[in-house]
Amino acid sequence: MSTIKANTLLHSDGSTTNPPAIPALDKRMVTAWVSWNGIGTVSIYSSENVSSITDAGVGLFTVNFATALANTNWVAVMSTQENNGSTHSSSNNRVIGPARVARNVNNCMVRAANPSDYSTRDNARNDVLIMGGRA
Amino acid sequence: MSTVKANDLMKVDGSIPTVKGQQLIPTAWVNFNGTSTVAIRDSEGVSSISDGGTGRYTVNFTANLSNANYSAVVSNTVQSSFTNVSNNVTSLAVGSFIIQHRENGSVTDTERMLAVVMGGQA
Repeated sequence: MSTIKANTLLHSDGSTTNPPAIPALDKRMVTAWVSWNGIGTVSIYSSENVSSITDAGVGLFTVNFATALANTNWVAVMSTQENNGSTHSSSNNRVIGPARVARNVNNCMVRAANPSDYSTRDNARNDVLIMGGRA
Repeated sequence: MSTVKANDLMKVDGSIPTVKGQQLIPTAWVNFNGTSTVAIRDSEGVSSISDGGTGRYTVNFTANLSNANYSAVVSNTVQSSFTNVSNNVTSLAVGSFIIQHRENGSVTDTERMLAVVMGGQA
């Protein structure tokens, strides 16, 4: 019998927050994700395996991982929402991407900018997914 | 014994089992064609895409999420201009969210839109 049928799978410690390991799927699952408000005092809406967001200047944020990643070959995909009340004009467009800094296993720096002149901007909502596996 | 070996894991009714601590498993994802009549190529947890006008799409979830604090990450292929390309994710609600795609500063329909949603689970 190679099929297990169960409605709920728990870690052996009974925790509902500590997930059971499925090693063969580790690299297919998202390693970390976070959604945060980058305007004013940075605040996280929700996250997993992200301990904090550091405000590194206008449009610059460091995503700090709760558990270090397996290596620096991680993949980060990102999205953003314009500031509230935006008129959606060209000058208000925003993009977010990895900052040009050395990669490491403990954090990922991202840069939000106006694509028309590449000047950095803070955004109301920033979303980052990290793939690659934990250490 | 805390290791179970099996090739398949499923709910007793054959559907996807609940894995506690599953916040690292995407809640929903979708790949759709945003030009002409909007068409989903493939998806999970997404019932439909509503065409809200040029470059504007509403992603509708199959079942309402538990909260609107989820993370929606969107990507795309460029339709006509590599200049000033952006995807604005907005109006996050438990049942849907809106994507607005622009190229060269103007809202634009594009042939391939991709979205992944994390969180929003009970």
